Amino acid sequence: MYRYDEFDHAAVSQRVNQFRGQVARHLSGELSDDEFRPLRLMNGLYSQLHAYMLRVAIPYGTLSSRQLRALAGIARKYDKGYAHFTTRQNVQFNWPTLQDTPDILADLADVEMHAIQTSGNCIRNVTADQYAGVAVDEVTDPRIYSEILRQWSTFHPEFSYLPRKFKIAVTASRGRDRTAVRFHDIGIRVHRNNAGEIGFEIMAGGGLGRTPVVAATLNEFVPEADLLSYCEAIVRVYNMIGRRDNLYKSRIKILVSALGAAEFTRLVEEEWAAIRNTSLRLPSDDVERIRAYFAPPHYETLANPPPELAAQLEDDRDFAAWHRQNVARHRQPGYAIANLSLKPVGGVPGDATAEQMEAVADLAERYSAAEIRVTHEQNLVLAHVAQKDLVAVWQGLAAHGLASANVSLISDVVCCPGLDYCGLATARSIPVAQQISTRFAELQKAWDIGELRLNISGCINACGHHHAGHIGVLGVDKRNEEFYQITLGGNGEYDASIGEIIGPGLPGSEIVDAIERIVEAYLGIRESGERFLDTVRRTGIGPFKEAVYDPPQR
Amino acid sequence: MPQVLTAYGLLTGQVLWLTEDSAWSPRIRDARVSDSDADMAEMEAAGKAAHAAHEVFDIYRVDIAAEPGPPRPIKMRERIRALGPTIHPGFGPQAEEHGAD
Ligand code: HEM
Ligand code: SF4
Repeated sequence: MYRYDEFDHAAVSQRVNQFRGQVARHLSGELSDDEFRPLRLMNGLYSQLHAYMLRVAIPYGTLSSRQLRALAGIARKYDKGYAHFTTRQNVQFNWPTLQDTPDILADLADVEMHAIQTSGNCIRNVTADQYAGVAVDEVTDPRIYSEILRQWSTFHPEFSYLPRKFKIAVTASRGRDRTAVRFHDIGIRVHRNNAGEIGFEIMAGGGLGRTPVVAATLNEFVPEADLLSYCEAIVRVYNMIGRRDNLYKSRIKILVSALGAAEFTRLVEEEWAAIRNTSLRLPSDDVERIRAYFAPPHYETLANPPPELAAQLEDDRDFAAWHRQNVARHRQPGYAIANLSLKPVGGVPGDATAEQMEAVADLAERYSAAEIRVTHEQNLVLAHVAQKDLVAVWQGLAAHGLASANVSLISDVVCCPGLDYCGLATARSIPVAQQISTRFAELQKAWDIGELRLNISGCINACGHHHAGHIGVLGVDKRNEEFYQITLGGNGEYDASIGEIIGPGLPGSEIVDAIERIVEAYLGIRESGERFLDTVRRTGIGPFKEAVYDPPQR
Repeated sequence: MPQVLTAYGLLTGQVLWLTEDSAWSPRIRDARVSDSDADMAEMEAAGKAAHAAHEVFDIYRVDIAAEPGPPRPIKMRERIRALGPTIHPGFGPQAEEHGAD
């Protein structure tokens, strides 16, 4: 994986020292509140409902076991023994003090981690497919381009004060998108043309929040060498003419919608023509140099599947269940991708304790090239497990409550912190997720329901991607009561769609029953082979609306 | 409507409530409650002074239910701030009541 060069090292340590100085100057009164706040945010330190919150970047969602151990250590030493993995492949600590933060940042810097680009109106941490480098359906490793974009965007002088935050994701999957690429400010899909050359489909203007928009494709195939000039052209146009007068209209999605994708593309390509053949051009040896960082680990030649696997699956139904739901195909014969659900029944989606993080680090060291991935569904991945070791991995996970066999099922709820932690929330979201994973805990039933993405946000900012959920739940405040609005038919993949609101919000006491009625309606009307999303797309929301608001009397 | 004054501790980030003797407590039951404009003005002056002394930030008033007993914020958001996350009875000021942290 990517190792810091000297420049990165120097920049990160310098940043820690700077922040230490800024904290001291703030405490002594030299820096006022207003002066200090942006500096604190630039270092990932927010103020949430109960305490400060530190957001740490996990570039393209890849962590070494050493880094995960360091996160566990921070959770234990400076926090309350756990951390929260987010939908943007970041990790958040909910209880750090200001006093401790410089030390936490120093501990992070020791393992090449930081909180740069996790806040503020800059280009944020660039995300990538969690199956990067191991997916059977990928063109090439997307992290190469995420890393190139990271180097370009970090401390980019022109783009440190954009109209608003700016999020980029990169996917190279030919099959299914695992990055919600069309809900990003810039979405990048790697292609290879008939001549064998790499290029990118560049999308822009996607986003969630108050105004959800599916990104438009600006260009179907931007050559590899032009990645940075094309992105620079987009961000430059946005930086120059994006709105700064209204917080809710300042994202690039508003600009692209206002101008129309065609006109926006014209402006971008005009700018691009002017800068295309400058130092922004990517030399192919630079790409190769970065590619080398993402070289696959050493794989053994192994039987596929190993002879003992059939008997192991036969012997233990729990292992078989986990294998069926959480294990994905690997490009290397004899290997597998193991998904670790952070969604135990009744648990807090995305939370992991220090002990769990250490257990995962141990397992990664023993069985998966000492490397861990974080998904935008708030789960973890061990990306290089020999199939013969799957039983041992599963046992290790089960011993720490990490073997829930529910990845991509209804109980694999994606959920933001909501009013239990977040100062902007209008309602709680975690208790709803807990009730849902409890209601649908029975695996046989969840399997029968099949793939179903359920996403919950505690306010219109949509950190829980509710618009992109097959079932979306949005918490709102109605005269000091928590109400929940249901949307159906959202989807975050290549064929992205925005969920449609089915009707008035329901009180917290009714939301889980309503979801169950929606699921039952689906089971009643689905046609063979249809996922929940397919049925909603075929029938529209009508039958589900009826099931919720006008159920047949029993 | 009765009100209390709240803020965050600058060093700890902790939720705090202004007390009768113009100190700051993490327990809302220690908070000074008042529904007089004169008292509130005095409390806000104390808040401003604490802000100037770099003790607290984000100071604001919170509405309290007009009822006997310990102060209970009207808004759900402020009740959760006063107690801690509803999903973790062991975290935040509520831990004292639950006897765990
Ligand atoms: C202190 C806690 C947080 C604050 C203050 C916060 C704030 C916000 C705001 C204001 C927006 C709307 C931006 C816009 O529409 O322009 C937003 C969007 C978003 N946030 Fe958060 N957030 C927080 C926590 C989280 C967490 C925990 C996650 C992941 C679980 C997350 C992931 C996202 C995502 C994916 C979006 C939507 C994508 C977009 O359109 O930008 N945020 N957040
Ligand atoms: S969606 Fe709203 S409640 Fe949830 S984390 Fe984002 S800002 Fe907070």
